[in-house]
Amino acid sequence: MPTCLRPRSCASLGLALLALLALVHCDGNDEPGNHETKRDPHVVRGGDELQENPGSLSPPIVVEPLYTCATAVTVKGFIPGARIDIFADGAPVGGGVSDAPWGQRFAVTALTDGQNVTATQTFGGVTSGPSPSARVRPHSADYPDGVPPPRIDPKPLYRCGKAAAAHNIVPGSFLEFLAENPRSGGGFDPPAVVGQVNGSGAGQWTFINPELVRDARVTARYRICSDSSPPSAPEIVQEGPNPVPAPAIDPEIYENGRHVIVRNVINGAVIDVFDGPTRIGGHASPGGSQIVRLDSPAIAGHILKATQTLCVTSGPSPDTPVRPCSELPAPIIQAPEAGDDRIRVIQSVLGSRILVFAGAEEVGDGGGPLVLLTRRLRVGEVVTVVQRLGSCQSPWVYRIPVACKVTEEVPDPSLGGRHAAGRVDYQLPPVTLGVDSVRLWATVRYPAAADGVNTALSPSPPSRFPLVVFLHGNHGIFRVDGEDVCPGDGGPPPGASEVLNHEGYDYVLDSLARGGFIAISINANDLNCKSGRIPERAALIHAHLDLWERLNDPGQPDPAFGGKFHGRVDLLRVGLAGHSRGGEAVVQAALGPADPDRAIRSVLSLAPVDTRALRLRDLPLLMILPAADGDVVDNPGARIYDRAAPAGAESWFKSQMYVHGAIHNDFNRQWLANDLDVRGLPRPAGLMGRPGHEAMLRAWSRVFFDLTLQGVEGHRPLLAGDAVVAGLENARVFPSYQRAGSRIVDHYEDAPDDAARNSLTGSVSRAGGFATFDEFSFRQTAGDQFNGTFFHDTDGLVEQWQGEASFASALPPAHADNSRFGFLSLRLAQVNDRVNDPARIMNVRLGLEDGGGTTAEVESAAVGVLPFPYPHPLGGKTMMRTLRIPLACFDDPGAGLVQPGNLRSVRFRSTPTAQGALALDDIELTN
Amino acid sequence: MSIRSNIARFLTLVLALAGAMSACARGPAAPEEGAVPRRETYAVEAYQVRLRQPVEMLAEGRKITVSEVVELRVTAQRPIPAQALDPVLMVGERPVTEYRYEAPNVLVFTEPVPAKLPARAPVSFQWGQGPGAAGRQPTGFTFERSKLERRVR
Repeated sequence: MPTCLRPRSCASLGLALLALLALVHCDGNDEPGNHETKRDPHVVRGGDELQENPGSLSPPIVVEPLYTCATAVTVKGFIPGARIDIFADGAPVGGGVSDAPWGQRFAVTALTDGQNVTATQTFGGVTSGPSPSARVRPHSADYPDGVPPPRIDPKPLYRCGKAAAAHNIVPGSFLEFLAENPRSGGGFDPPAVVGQVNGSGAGQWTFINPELVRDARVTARYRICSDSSPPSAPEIVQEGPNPVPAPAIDPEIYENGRHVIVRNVINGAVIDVFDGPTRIGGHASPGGSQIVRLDSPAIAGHILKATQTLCVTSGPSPDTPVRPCSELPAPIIQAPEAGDDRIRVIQSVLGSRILVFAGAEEVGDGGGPLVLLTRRLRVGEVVTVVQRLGSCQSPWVYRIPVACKVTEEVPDPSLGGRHAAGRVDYQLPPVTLGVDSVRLWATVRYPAAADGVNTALSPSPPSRFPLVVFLHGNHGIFRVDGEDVCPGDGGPPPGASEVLNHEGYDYVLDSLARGGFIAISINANDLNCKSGRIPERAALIHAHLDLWERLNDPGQPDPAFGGKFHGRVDLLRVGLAGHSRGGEAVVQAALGPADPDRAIRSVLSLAPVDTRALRLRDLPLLMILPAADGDVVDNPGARIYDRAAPAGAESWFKSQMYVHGAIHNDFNRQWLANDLDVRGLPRPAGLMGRPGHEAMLRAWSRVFFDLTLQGVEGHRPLLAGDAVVAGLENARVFPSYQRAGSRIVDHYEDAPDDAARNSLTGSVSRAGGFATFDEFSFRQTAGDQFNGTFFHDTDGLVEQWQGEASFASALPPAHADNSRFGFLSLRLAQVNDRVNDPARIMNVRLGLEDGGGTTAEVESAAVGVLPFPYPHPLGGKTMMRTLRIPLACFDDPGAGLVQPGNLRSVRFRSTPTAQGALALDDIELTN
Repeated sequence: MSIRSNIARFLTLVLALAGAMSACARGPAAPEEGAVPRRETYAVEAYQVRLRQPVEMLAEGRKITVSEVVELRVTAQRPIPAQALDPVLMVGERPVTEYRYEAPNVLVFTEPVPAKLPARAPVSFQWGQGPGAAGRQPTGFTFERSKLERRVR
């Protein structure tokens, strides 16, 4: 029999006749409200014991970007009902009172270039500290090719509509909707302004007055400073539904609540919300789901209804009772990590106040979805989050300890984009490359106005799109009875069709086009079924780039596409991506020849061969390695990764994704056979399916080229292993990452080998039971290996211990100040060695010591998994991954935070009761 | 370190030569049900070929002109797949890397410097050279220079 933990809830049901129902209501969980919270172990009863501190008001948040000439600023994260004051360079420029902490737009004096804008909130007579400063900049910095046209959305617009919305607007602009009413004899009246907003958001709705008439032509436009946007695509007003369906009120409405969400609203309809017979709120809406502010706080037990009117009025919505204070749920927050200065609220009741405590200390008081804190969180302390609506406080709180590191899961950027994807193909006369005659053959996806073949290029900026070039690898070029084969002296076998090897990445090209890239995939069939041909493949890439220079040049004839791409290709932002032999060829192509009219900016290499020991310098590299590769079984791309290095470019980085259970062929939709089968190797258990391969290549391609060609810096954590793309099989992925500007404590490349001295010339002292503590080559071909299971192209340390063992690698005084860094980074791997247990995740302790004698440790398992090498049928490869530990994690409960500005040593300590063998390289302080 | 090096060499050999069923000491996971490894068999013929016209070929990375070569014709039961790694024919420890497809299931390997081949050695087939080479497979054919059939082409 379940136990009811909420006597108040049970008692509230009252009657004995309802006792059974009450037990069911409380079955297994007494958390009321949102069902999603029911299984969350962090939701606990409490809150009364917490001592509120009125002085801990959170600074609000000024939403960026802020552009010169903008006449409104959006502020969020404040207590509902607080007064917001906005300042530019310290002088007040606007503000007001709001109960919409998810984002309230306030009118301000027009902003000027270079101003620093801040905001404060005042509540209960107390004023918060200022928000982080947001700097005003000219919109031309983000829109160098002019401002884009807005897009009316949702659509269609309906007769009698009294609201409309538009998107794709430069924030802070002056937005207008214009209607041209139809003339009885045909044509349209002159345009008349029917709606306007001063200080628009990026997406903005407004009231329309007078209401829309049938067949009117409506457009939107905006202006900021002296720039006016092109008009939006016109929308013709249509007849709306009749009868009008009833809307619905979201059931999450609680006592004291000031807002309801009304769903199923028709575009342009007027919503009315009623408490019994009394209208308590409503206005016109652009449809979908609409937040409606109530004229007075909701009263527990009252029944709310809503109607919507579009020419005619709908019937009422189903009854929505206002739930009592006792059912107000706990808020839910994203798991906090050490050093956080804000809490992200991922579930809360609309318009609620959120109070945040660290231990017993109140450190934040604001409103969701983001609450700034008055100090940074420390690892291990317990955060408690409380939700209030007016005077009602939830009897439940969200309580969670602060972790060293939380790997954030972010939505897959490759699943969307602001463009449609167009397609063209070309197959031009062959060029001679070495002894081969090679067709210039490729498939192209580009940002378009509409999906389809040869549709118009996207009208949205930028005017020039970066170019990404894909190249496949060696594979059969004719398909016979489902098998891909190489032709012999007699030519293609009877009945054979040519394998479209280059079309195997269409799913990636499509995503890239939607994200604003022109993406091409080259066919290299004429170089397949032959030995090597890496230089020829690289030359083929350059031959296509030569072609794209011509396709981009308005002065050149373009019989293939009629000038479609003239002036629309940014050849100074070129990215290369190659698979298998193509994966080495893209590295070769990136190394030259140089051409002043184009610039290869980054290289993605997937399961490459490594026949030429190429060394990339200064170019960002993403290496994807399938651990179960049945073709290039030794993952030689790891060597290309190891050799890649900076040569002065501050923006340089390299990232490697070693994917357990991934194989060679499943990234290309034309390569249908399992490469392990082809090679006659047994399949390891638990291989990843083809959809998993494709999702990874699509997501990482988009992330990588977004960052390296479009400057989307927010994607960097996804390549550093600090965040993951939602929906991928991330538990299989073991990332490596390195970036320019790091301080390398030890790279183990110094000659002669000396495990007692690091690369900063600091001493390395060790204690305890090390059976081995020495520098080795991690290569297959070198003599001084620890064992034959290493496939890298680097040197490193192997330490093998029995029981407790530790070492400290000293930072000389000249290198003690590391305050500019945020992470300690190391490359580590369990060695494929009998002392390690294949079933065990290795867990060691990594530490820092500062000059004041403070030492703190972090368990490796807190920041990443160190598994036993993947069981490839030809043997487990000792393949290192990077662990990145935020410096905020080095926080000893007694001694305090290790001071990065005065570091003395990096430390290692084994798990006391275990034995183990660990490979280690590239100990560094980094960002 | 020398003991380590010897162990390393041994393990390298183990990894390089391990076939489908001779995995590392810890053993691979069991194959998925229904995944039956396919073992190819190769038939080999060898010829001494005199070329009517001298041709340029690559030999150990250098372009040379040759008028007489050794060809090793390898026939498989099924089409020989094109993969990232090139097929390599090992005559003893001498890799023969230049090849062309005569038919989907027939490769003709060419040794441009016949004198580099051993006088008598077993012939095996593998994919790739160096660290990635794996699954060297004996063909059952023994190369004997003195018994080569002569051809003119």
